[in-house]
Amino acid sequence: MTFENEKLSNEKITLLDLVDRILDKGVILKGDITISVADVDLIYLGLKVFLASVDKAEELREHQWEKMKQGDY
Amino acid sequence: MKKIYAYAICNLKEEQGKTKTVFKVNQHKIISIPFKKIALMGENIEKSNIEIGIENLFTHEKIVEKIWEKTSILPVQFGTILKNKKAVKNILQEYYSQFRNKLQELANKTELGVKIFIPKKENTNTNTTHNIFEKKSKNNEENKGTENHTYSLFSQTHNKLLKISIKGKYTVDQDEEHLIYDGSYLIPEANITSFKEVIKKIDTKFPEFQFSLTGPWPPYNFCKLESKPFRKKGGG
Repeated sequence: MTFENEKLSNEKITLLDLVDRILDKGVILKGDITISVADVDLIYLGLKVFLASVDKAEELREHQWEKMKQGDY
Repeated sequence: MKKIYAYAICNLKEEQGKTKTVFKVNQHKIISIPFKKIALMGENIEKSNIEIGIENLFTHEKIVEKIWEKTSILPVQFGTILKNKKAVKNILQEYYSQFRNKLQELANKTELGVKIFIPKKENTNTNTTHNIFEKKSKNNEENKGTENHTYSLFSQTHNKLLKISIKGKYTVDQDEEHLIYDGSYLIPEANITSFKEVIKKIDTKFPEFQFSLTGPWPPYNFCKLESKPFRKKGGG
Protein backbone atom coordinates (compact mmCIF):
# COMPACT_ATOMS: atom_id res chain seq x y z
CA MET A 1 0.00 0.00 0.00
CA THR A 2 2.60 2.51 -1.04
CA PHE A 3 1.29 5.38 -3.05
CA GLU A 4 -0.63 7.56 -0.66
CA ASN A 5 -1.12 10.42 -3.07
CA GLU A 6 -2.23 8.16 -5.85
CA LYS A 7 -4.33 5.85 -3.77
CA LEU A 8 -7.92 5.52 -4.87
CA SER A 9 -10.51 5.90 -2.17
CA ASN A 10 -12.33 2.77 -1.08
CA GLU A 11 -15.60 4.45 -1.92
CA LYS A 12 -14.52 5.04 -5.48
CA ILE A 13 -13.31 1.47 -5.92
CA THR A 14 -16.57 0.16 -4.48
CA LEU A 15 -18.51 2.38 -6.82
CA LEU A 16 -16.53 1.12 -9.82
CA ASP A 17 -17.23 -2.44 -8.71
CA LEU A 18 -20.92 -1.67 -8.30
CA VAL A 19 -21.17 -0.19 -11.79
CA ASP A 20 -19.24 -3.11 -13.29
CA ARG A 21 -21.62 -5.54 -11.72
CA ILE A 22 -25.09 -4.11 -12.05
CA LEU A 23 -24.68 -2.73 -15.57
CA ASP A 24 -22.57 -5.44 -17.09
CA LYS A 25 -23.37 -8.60 -15.14
CA GLY A 26 -26.38 -10.32 -13.62
CA VAL A 27 -29.07 -12.36 -15.28
CA ILE A 28 -30.04 -11.08 -18.71
CA LEU A 29 -33.65 -11.80 -19.51
CA LYS A 30 -33.72 -12.13 -23.27
CA GLY A 31 -36.56 -12.37 -25.71
CA ASP A 32 -39.11 -10.30 -27.58
CA ILE A 33 -40.87 -9.57 -24.36
CA THR A 34 -37.92 -7.75 -22.84
CA ILE A 35 -37.45 -4.06 -23.28
CA SER A 36 -33.94 -3.10 -22.30
CA VAL A 37 -32.39 0.23 -21.64
CA ALA A 38 -31.33 1.64 -24.97
CA ASP A 39 -27.64 2.19 -25.74
CA VAL A 40 -26.48 0.80 -22.40
CA ASP A 41 -22.92 0.32 -23.58
CA LEU A 42 -22.61 3.88 -24.73
CA ILE A 43 -24.01 5.34 -21.55
CA TYR A 44 -21.95 2.91 -19.49
CA LEU A 45 -18.80 4.10 -21.16
CA GLY A 46 -19.76 7.66 -20.36
CA LEU A 47 -20.43 6.71 -16.79
CA LYS A 48 -17.00 5.11 -16.41
CA VAL A 49 -15.43 8.34 -17.55
CA PHE A 50 -17.63 10.17 -15.12
CA LEU A 51 -16.52 7.87 -12.33
CA ALA A 52 -12.91 8.67 -13.05
CA SER A 53 -13.46 12.14 -11.67
CA VAL A 54 -12.12 12.38 -8.14
CA ASP A 55 -14.38 15.33 -7.37
CA LYS A 56 -17.41 13.34 -8.32
CA ALA A 57 -16.23 10.37 -6.30
CA GLU A 58 -15.93 12.61 -3.27
CA GLU A 59 -19.37 14.01 -3.91
CA LEU A 60 -20.79 10.53 -4.24
CA ARG A 61 -19.04 9.41 -1.11
CA GLU A 62 -20.63 12.19 0.86
CA HIS A 63 -24.10 12.20 -0.58
CA GLN A 64 -24.89 8.72 -1.80
CA TRP A 65 -22.73 5.98 -0.39
CA GLU A 66 -23.14 6.98 3.23
CA LYS A 67 -26.87 7.29 2.79
CA MET A 68 -27.05 3.87 1.25
CA LYS A 69 -24.99 2.22 3.95
CA GLN A 70 -27.08 3.87 6.64
CA GLY A 71 -30.25 2.76 4.91
CA ASP A 72 -31.57 6.29 4.51
CA TYR A 73 -33.00 5.60 1.13
CA MET B 1 -50.90 -2.29 -18.92
CA LYS B 2 -48.21 -1.97 -16.25
CA LYS B 3 -44.68 -2.97 -17.04
CA ILE B 4 -42.41 -4.75 -14.57
CA TYR B 5 -38.95 -3.56 -13.62
CA ALA B 6 -36.94 -6.68 -12.64
CA TYR B 7 -34.54 -6.85 -9.68
CA ALA B 8 -33.92 -10.53 -8.97
CA ILE B 9 -35.14 -14.08 -9.26
CA CYS B 10 -35.45 -16.10 -6.07
CA ASN B 11 -36.74 -19.33 -4.59
CA LEU B 12 -40.02 -19.47 -2.73
CA LYS B 13 -40.48 -21.50 0.43
CA GLU B 14 -43.77 -22.73 -0.93
CA GLU B 15 -45.70 -22.26 -4.12
CA GLN B 16 -47.65 -19.02 -4.33
CA GLY B 17 -50.58 -18.42 -6.60
CA LYS B 18 -50.70 -14.66 -6.65
CA THR B 19 -48.50 -11.63 -6.89
CA LYS B 20 -47.69 -10.20 -3.47
CA THR B 21 -46.20 -6.98 -2.20
CA VAL B 22 -43.10 -8.00 -0.27
CA PHE B 23 -41.61 -4.76 1.05
CA LYS B 24 -41.19 -1.08 0.30
CA VAL B 25 -38.09 1.05 -0.13
CA ASN B 26 -39.28 4.64 -0.13
CA GLN B 27 -41.65 4.92 -3.09
CA HIS B 28 -40.57 1.56 -4.52
CA LYS B 29 -43.14 -1.16 -3.85
CA ILE B 30 -41.42 -4.50 -4.44
CA ILE B 31 -43.65 -7.33 -5.58
CA SER B 32 -43.06 -11.04 -6.09
CA ILE B 33 -44.47 -12.56 -9.25
CA PRO B 34 -44.46 -16.33 -8.69
CA PHE B 35 -44.26 -19.36 -10.91
CA LYS B 36 -44.25 -22.68 -9.07
CA LYS B 37 -41.42 -22.42 -6.50
CA ILE B 38 -39.60 -19.40 -7.88
CA ALA B 39 -40.49 -15.75 -8.27
CA LEU B 40 -39.31 -12.64 -10.00
CA MET B 41 -38.95 -9.75 -7.59
CA GLY B 42 -39.83 -6.55 -9.34
CA GLU B 43 -41.80 -3.37 -9.36
CA ASN B 44 -44.66 -1.99 -11.41
CA ILE B 45 -43.56 0.92 -13.55
CA GLU B 46 -45.08 3.08 -16.26
CA LYS B 47 -41.85 3.94 -18.10
CA SER B 48 -40.18 1.86 -20.80
CA ASN B 49 -36.65 2.77 -19.84
CA ILE B 50 -34.64 3.77 -16.81
CA GLU B 51 -32.14 6.55 -16.72
CA ILE B 52 -28.66 5.36 -15.78
CA GLY B 53 -27.94 7.76 -12.97
CA ILE B 54 -26.10 7.27 -9.71
CA GLU B 55 -29.25 7.43 -7.63
CA ASN B 56 -30.99 4.80 -9.75
CA LEU B 57 -27.93 2.55 -9.63
CA PHE B 58 -27.71 2.75 -5.85
CA THR B 59 -31.43 2.23 -5.43
CA HIS B 60 -31.30 -0.84 -7.68
CA GLU B 61 -28.44 -2.31 -5.63
CA LYS B 62 -30.09 -1.45 -2.34
CA ILE B 63 -33.27 -3.30 -3.34
CA VAL B 64 -31.35 -6.29 -4.73
CA GLU B 65 -29.39 -6.55 -1.47
CA LYS B 66 -32.55 -6.32 0.58
CA ILE B 67 -34.02 -9.27 -1.33
CA TRP B 68 -30.70 -11.09 -0.95
CA GLU B 69 -30.83 -10.69 2.85
CA LYS B 70 -33.79 -13.05 2.92
CA THR B 71 -32.91 -15.67 0.33
CA SER B 72 -30.52 -16.77 -2.44
CA ILE B 73 -31.03 -14.75 -5.59
CA LEU B 74 -30.09 -14.37 -9.21
CA PRO B 75 -29.61 -10.62 -9.56
CA VAL B 76 -31.04 -9.23 -12.79
CA GLN B 77 -29.08 -6.75 -14.87
CA PHE B 78 -29.91 -3.09 -14.25
CA GLY B 79 -32.52 -1.63 -16.58
CA THR B 80 -34.45 -4.80 -17.41
CA ILE B 81 -38.12 -4.04 -17.98
CA LEU B 82 -40.68 -6.64 -18.95
CA LYS B 83 -43.88 -5.94 -20.81
CA ASN B 84 -46.26 -7.26 -18.16
CA LYS B 85 -46.80 -10.00 -15.58
CA LYS B 86 -47.56 -12.53 -18.29
CA ALA B 87 -44.17 -11.88 -19.86
CA VAL B 88 -42.56 -12.47 -16.46
CA LYS B 89 -44.39 -15.77 -16.02
CA ASN B 90 -43.38 -16.85 -19.52
CA ILE B 91 -39.71 -16.30 -18.70
CA LEU B 92 -39.97 -18.05 -15.33
CA GLN B 93 -41.71 -20.98 -16.99
CA GLU B 94 -39.28 -21.21 -19.90
CA TYR B 95 -36.16 -21.10 -17.73
CA TYR B 96 -37.65 -22.73 -14.65
CA SER B 97 -35.23 -25.64 -14.22
CA GLN B 98 -32.20 -23.49 -15.08
CA PHE B 99 -33.20 -20.87 -12.52
CA ARG B 100 -33.85 -23.52 -9.87
CA ASN B 101 -30.51 -25.24 -10.48
CA LYS B 102 -28.59 -21.98 -10.43
CA LEU B 103 -30.31 -20.82 -7.25
CA GLN B 104 -29.42 -24.10 -5.59
CA GLU B 105 -25.81 -23.76 -6.76
CA LEU B 106 -25.54 -20.25 -5.33
CA ALA B 107 -27.24 -20.92 -1.99
CA ASN B 108 -25.25 -19.56 0.97
CA LYS B 109 -22.54 -18.21 -1.29
CA THR B 110 -21.32 -14.72 -1.89
CA GLU B 111 -19.17 -12.86 -4.35
CA LEU B 112 -16.10 -10.81 -3.47
CA GLY B 113 -14.26 -8.43 -5.76
CA VAL B 114 -10.47 -8.12 -5.78
CA LYS B 115 -8.72 -5.32 -7.58
CA ILE B 116 -5.00 -4.57 -7.79
CA PHE B 117 -3.67 -1.19 -8.81
CA ILE B 118 -0.19 0.08 -9.56
CA PRO B 119 1.01 3.58 -8.76
CA LYS B 120 1.65 6.15 -11.46
CA LYS B 121 5.30 6.23 -12.41
CA GLU B 122 6.83 9.67 -12.58
CA ASN B 123 8.28 10.53 -15.93
CA THR B 124 11.99 10.61 -15.20
CA ASN B 125 13.12 10.26 -18.80
CA THR B 126 16.04 12.49 -19.66
CA ASN B 127 16.77 11.00 -23.03
CA THR B 128 19.93 12.25 -24.63
CA THR B 129 21.55 11.00 -27.78
CA HIS B 130 24.60 9.52 -26.12
CA ASN B 131 22.82 7.25 -23.66
CA ILE B 132 19.61 6.33 -25.43
CA PHE B 133 20.77 2.86 -26.55
CA GLU B 134 22.14 2.08 -23.15
CA LYS B 135 18.81 3.14 -21.64
CA LYS B 136 16.77 1.06 -24.06
CA SER B 137 18.73 -2.02 -23.18
CA LYS B 138 18.40 -1.32 -19.47
CA ASN B 139 14.68 -0.62 -19.80
CA ASN B 140 14.12 -3.93 -21.59
CA GLU B 141 15.74 -5.77 -18.73
CA GLU B 142 13.77 -3.78 -16.18
CA ASN B 143 10.53 -4.39 -18.05
CA LYS B 144 11.23 -8.10 -18.19
CA GLY B 145 11.84 -8.14 -14.44
CA THR B 146 8.67 -6.15 -13.84
CA GLU B 147 6.65 -8.45 -16.07
CA ASN B 148 7.88 -11.51 -14.19
CA HIS B 149 7.12 -9.86 -10.89
CA THR B 150 3.62 -8.89 -12.05
CA TYR B 151 2.98 -12.36 -13.46
CA SER B 152 4.03 -13.81 -10.12
CA LEU B 153 1.62 -11.44 -8.39
CA PHE B 154 -1.28 -12.47 -10.64
CA SER B 155 -0.67 -16.20 -10.41
CA GLN B 156 -0.07 -16.20 -6.66
CA THR B 157 -3.10 -14.06 -6.01
CA HIS B 158 -5.44 -16.07 -8.21
CA ASN B 159 -4.20 -19.51 -7.12
CA LYS B 160 -4.33 -18.69 -3.43
CA LEU B 161 -7.79 -17.18 -3.66
CA LEU B 162 -9.09 -20.09 -5.74
CA LYS B 163 -8.12 -22.50 -2.97
CA ILE B 164 -10.78 -21.03 -0.70
CA SER B 165 -13.25 -20.20 -3.47
CA ILE B 166 -15.77 -22.22 -5.41
CA LYS B 167 -15.12 -20.29 -8.60
CA GLY B 168 -13.02 -17.34 -9.55
CA LYS B 169 -11.97 -15.34 -12.55
CA TYR B 170 -9.91 -12.30 -13.31
CA THR B 171 -9.07 -10.00 -16.15
CA VAL B 172 -5.78 -8.26 -16.62
CA ASP B 173 -6.03 -4.71 -17.74
CA GLN B 174 -4.44 -1.34 -17.40
CA ASP B 175 -6.36 1.89 -17.69
CA GLU B 176 -5.89 5.43 -16.57
CA GLU B 177 -6.66 4.42 -13.00
CA HIS B 178 -3.82 1.83 -13.13
CA LEU B 179 -6.05 -1.13 -12.58
CA ILE B 180 -4.07 -4.22 -13.50
CA TYR B 181 -6.05 -7.06 -11.96
CA ASP B 182 -9.81 -7.25 -11.71
CA GLY B 183 -11.03 -10.44 -10.07
CA SER B 184 -14.33 -11.86 -8.85
CA TYR B 185 -14.61 -14.85 -6.56
CA LEU B 186 -17.57 -16.92 -5.49
CA ILE B 187 -17.06 -18.21 -1.97
CA PRO B 188 -19.07 -19.88 0.78
CA GLU B 189 -20.30 -17.19 3.20
CA ALA B 190 -18.31 -18.92 5.94
CA ASN B 191 -15.02 -18.23 4.08
CA ILE B 192 -15.16 -14.43 4.06
CA THR B 193 -12.72 -14.02 6.96
CA SER B 194 -10.25 -16.53 5.50
CA PHE B 195 -10.46 -14.76 2.16
CA LYS B 196 -9.61 -11.42 3.78
CA GLU B 197 -6.64 -12.99 5.55
CA VAL B 198 -5.27 -14.34 2.26
CA ILE B 199 -5.55 -10.88 0.70
CA LYS B 200 -3.70 -9.37 3.67
CA LYS B 201 -0.85 -11.86 3.27
CA ILE B 202 -0.51 -11.18 -0.45
CA ASP B 203 -0.64 -7.45 0.22
CA THR B 204 2.27 -7.79 2.64
CA LYS B 205 4.25 -9.73 0.07
CA PHE B 206 3.70 -7.17 -2.70
CA PRO B 207 3.78 -3.80 -0.88
CA GLU B 208 4.25 -1.78 -4.06
CA PHE B 209 0.72 -2.55 -5.21
CA GLN B 210 -2.61 -1.32 -3.90
CA PHE B 211 -5.09 -4.09 -3.15
CA SER B 212 -8.79 -3.60 -2.73
CA LEU B 213 -11.43 -6.03 -1.59
CA THR B 214 -15.11 -5.24 -2.11
CA GLY B 215 -18.26 -7.08 -1.20
CA PRO B 216 -19.96 -9.20 -0.16
CA TRP B 217 -21.91 -8.83 -3.39
CA PRO B 218 -24.87 -10.78 -4.70
CA PRO B 219 -23.40 -13.25 -7.22
CA TYR B 220 -23.56 -10.99 -10.28
CA ASN B 221 -20.58 -12.64 -11.95
CA PHE B 222 -21.69 -16.20 -11.36
CA CYS B 223 -25.37 -16.33 -12.26
CA LYS B 224 -25.06 -16.89 -15.99
CA LEU B 225 -27.27 -19.76 -17.14
CA GLU B 226 -25.21 -22.49 -18.78
CA SER B 227 -27.92 -24.40 -20.61
CA LYS B 228 -30.67 -23.41 -23.01
CA PRO B 229 -34.27 -23.38 -21.89
CA PHE B 230 -36.52 -26.35 -22.44
CA ARG B 231 -38.81 -25.72 -25.39
CA LYS B 232 -41.74 -27.81 -26.50
CA LYS B 233 -41.60 -29.17 -30.04
CA GLY B 234 -43.13 -26.68 -32.43
CA GLY B 235 -42.93 -24.03 -29.74
CA GLY B 236 -41.17 -20.67 -30.16
